[in-house]
Amino acid sequence: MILIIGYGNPLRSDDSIGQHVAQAMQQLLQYTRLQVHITYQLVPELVSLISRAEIVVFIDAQIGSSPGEVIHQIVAPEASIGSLTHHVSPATLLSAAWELYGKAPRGILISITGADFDYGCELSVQLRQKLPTIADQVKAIIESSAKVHVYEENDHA
Amino acid sequence: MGERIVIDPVTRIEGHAKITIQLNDAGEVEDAHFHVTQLRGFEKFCEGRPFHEMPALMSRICGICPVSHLVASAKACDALLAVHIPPTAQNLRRILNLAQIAQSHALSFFYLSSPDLLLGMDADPVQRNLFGVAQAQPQLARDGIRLRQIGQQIIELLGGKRIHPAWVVPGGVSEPLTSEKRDQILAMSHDGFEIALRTLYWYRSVMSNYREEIQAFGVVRTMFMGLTNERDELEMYDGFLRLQDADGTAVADRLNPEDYEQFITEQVEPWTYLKSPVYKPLGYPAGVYRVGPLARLNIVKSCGTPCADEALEEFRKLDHPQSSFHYHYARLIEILYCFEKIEQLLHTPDILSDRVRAHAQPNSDHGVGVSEAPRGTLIHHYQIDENGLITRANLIIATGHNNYAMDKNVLEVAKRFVHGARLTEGMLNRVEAVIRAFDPCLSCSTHAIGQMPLQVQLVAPSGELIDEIKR
Repeated sequence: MILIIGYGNPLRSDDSIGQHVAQAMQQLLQYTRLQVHITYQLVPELVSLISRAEIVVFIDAQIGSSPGEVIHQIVAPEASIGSLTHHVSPATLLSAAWELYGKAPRGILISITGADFDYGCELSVQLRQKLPTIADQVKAIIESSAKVHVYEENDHA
Repeated sequence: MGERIVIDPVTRIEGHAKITIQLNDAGEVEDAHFHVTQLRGFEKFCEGRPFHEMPALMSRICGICPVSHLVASAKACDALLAVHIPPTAQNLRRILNLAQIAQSHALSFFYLSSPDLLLGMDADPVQRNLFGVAQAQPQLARDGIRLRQIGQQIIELLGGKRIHPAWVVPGGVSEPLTSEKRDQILAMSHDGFEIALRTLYWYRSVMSNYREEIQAFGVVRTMFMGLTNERDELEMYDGFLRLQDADGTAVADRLNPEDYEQFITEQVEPWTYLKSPVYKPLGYPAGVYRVGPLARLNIVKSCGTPCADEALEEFRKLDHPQSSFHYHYARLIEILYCFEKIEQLLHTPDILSDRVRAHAQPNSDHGVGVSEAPRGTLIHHYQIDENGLITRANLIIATGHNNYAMDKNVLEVAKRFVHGARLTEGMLNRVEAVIRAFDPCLSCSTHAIGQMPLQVQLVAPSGELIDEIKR
């Protein structure tokens, strides 16, 4: 399974870009075993779901000077010294999946630069305009990662 | 020279707080306080809003127990409408509230306190978290995560989303339960019950490691308060209030929760933003009481469900049944109860009825809603004008009821474990652990936002800061 987790606060304008893009992936990607999960924040309850995936893609917003910029990085499991309650990172979740279930999928963190993080239920104009392009970029990253991990041989529809 | 220790912030609780400990010239603890350092003001900024917005607004007080506020707020709105809501709606609200209590208790027990209970109070703080638990005993961590997940999934099935569901409305609930959802909830509830029972057995096996803490956390003797029903059973949604002293004697019984202002008064102390309720007829300090799982189990005769009742019988045999350390034990029994009760309620004949809401315009200018939240008795009280706009809101939150008791417990535990001018991690953690046992939600109780770091300061009688530990 490819698991896509789009997270952010939909009441904080562009902070919700991860949710928007994850929802778009539901339409754009054609894998038979694709699961999209939309959430406000990463929480420990995601660990069991993550442990059942081969690839997990975290999509989040970030602060930066180029709104709409998409960057991605491989995430390796890393234990946190925190209490695993308020602040949980993708690396922490992968580590917990390994500790608790003996499985840690390949992790990719895709970060999208937002323009406006103030109160608001809608994306900024910049991100609204760029959303189709951003979605295409994210789709390409996921497809490329799936190819690298030979995922598509059995699972691509 | 006496000194002052400050623990700031207190960790692994919900919200912001600090602890100060005053030492005398001999280096022994002379005084200590639990300070809640945050403020939000929900009672003020909801003034002028239409009353029917209150359940949705008030649930925003908290991300851990939004359902509790939703339920109490909706009950206050029912009182404004002066309606009796359909029995099915009552039972559905009960199920939602029980799922909320189960998931919140799971968070407290597994995420926040199990690191102390499994790894020990003196364990390396780097390991003293859910990760440390996962390494030492993976099944315990898996159970904790699963249990919380079950509670949240039941909330999502009923309310549409896990956090801040809008399904509970003035007059009932917005839509009936389907048979598919009922069956899903029954299956999850069964799993939750099995996990709770397994954890209870485990907890009993390690409890003897904490004899000293159980004794130290039990020095403070207060009354207990909670809801109960006509059968003197555990009651989370309705009923009347009972206050009982530390020896088990009823101080006040069959109190109508709507009359709370006649018997509860809120005091303000200079060291904290959290108000401190006391039982009005006795005043401070005799009128100090505790609420929450420990209080609820102490004031009732039975839980009203078979396995929880068996567990309660064992609980009654404890040496220090009123020790705040036993909040943990009580929490586990309540989780058992929640899943047993959910199953009972789901088997009531009319649970799938589509009569789930009473419609009316406001018929009263004030309304009080009281229910049991995970941390104790929750009171919402609204007054409205002729247009249905809020003119006054008063909230007494579970953690607030416990404020004086937490403050006194900090002092007693500090006296027992803190000595000399240098701080040790184990000392610091034990002082925090007594607060953690109450599972305070300071974001709720000050209706404020935040997480819970802790600071301990060691200060001389002259006011000089001698030592400090921050997290």
